[in-house]
Amino acid sequence: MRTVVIRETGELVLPRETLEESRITAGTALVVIARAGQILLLDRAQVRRRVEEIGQGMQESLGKALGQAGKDAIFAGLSLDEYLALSEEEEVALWDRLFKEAEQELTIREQDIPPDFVPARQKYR
Amino acid sequence: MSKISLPTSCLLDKNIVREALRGLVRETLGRHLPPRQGASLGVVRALIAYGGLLYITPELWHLLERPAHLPIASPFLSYLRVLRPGRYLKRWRRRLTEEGFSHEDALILSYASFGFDTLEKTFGVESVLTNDLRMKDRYAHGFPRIEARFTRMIRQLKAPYQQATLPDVISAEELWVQMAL
Repeated sequence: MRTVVIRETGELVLPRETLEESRITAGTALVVIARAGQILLLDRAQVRRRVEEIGQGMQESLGKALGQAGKDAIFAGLSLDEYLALSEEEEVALWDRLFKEAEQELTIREQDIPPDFVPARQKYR
Repeated sequence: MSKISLPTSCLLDKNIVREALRGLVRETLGRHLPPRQGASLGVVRALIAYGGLLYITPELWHLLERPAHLPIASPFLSYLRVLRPGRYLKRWRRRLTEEGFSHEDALILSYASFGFDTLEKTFGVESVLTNDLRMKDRYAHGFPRIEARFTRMIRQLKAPYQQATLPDVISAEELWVQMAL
């Protein structure tokens, strides 16, 4: 861990060791995420790769599920072809109906929030 | 260098999940994605990549976890968390309904203030992510009134409820453009 000081101009010079450890080199495009008390610098290319990995994982998982289902229903009793043939209006209406059913099946039972819990906005900002 | 303001905790509305799932199916089959589906799917993945907490309501979770929906929903579920209904959720939902929000919109906005996560020991979220521009506009235009009403309500409550916050309401396409991945 090293300490650096931000200059009056807002500039920040990162020590050579920090750059070496992070394997981030001069000219790398960084994404800056600012939160209260925190500034995260992320290598944009790495974030992109991570997004792609997550996407591939989701696709593999779905591909497997669709393969297993074959011609059987994959969503709300619809086969893959039937699901894809839904117009946007039909799909919206289907999800509205399913959501209403889910809501009717669940009863909202409010619970006390423990006094040591904090608003997420306060915790992470 | 690019600067973006990313929510750390986000409540996804039903339409985001619907569009993202539809987008994932189309993408897996090698088909073209309409912009909203692409933005919804992209934003969800990017927020996961950035380590954001993605929440849904118990009602939506109940819908997705049904065996009849699992073939499509399962690739998503492991990335999602459920907010539990905290006290005053129904009261705030009623008030939002009086402000003209639909029953469902009021429910999601209410979870965004009074839903809680036992793992993180937090309640509420920073942002509601939606594709419903009508809801987003109603929230933006009515915000001064909503905020005043919210402040009046929580002022009378004991800890931790008096610290409750209102969420930002952002659209997937708006956030996707900001991320520019």
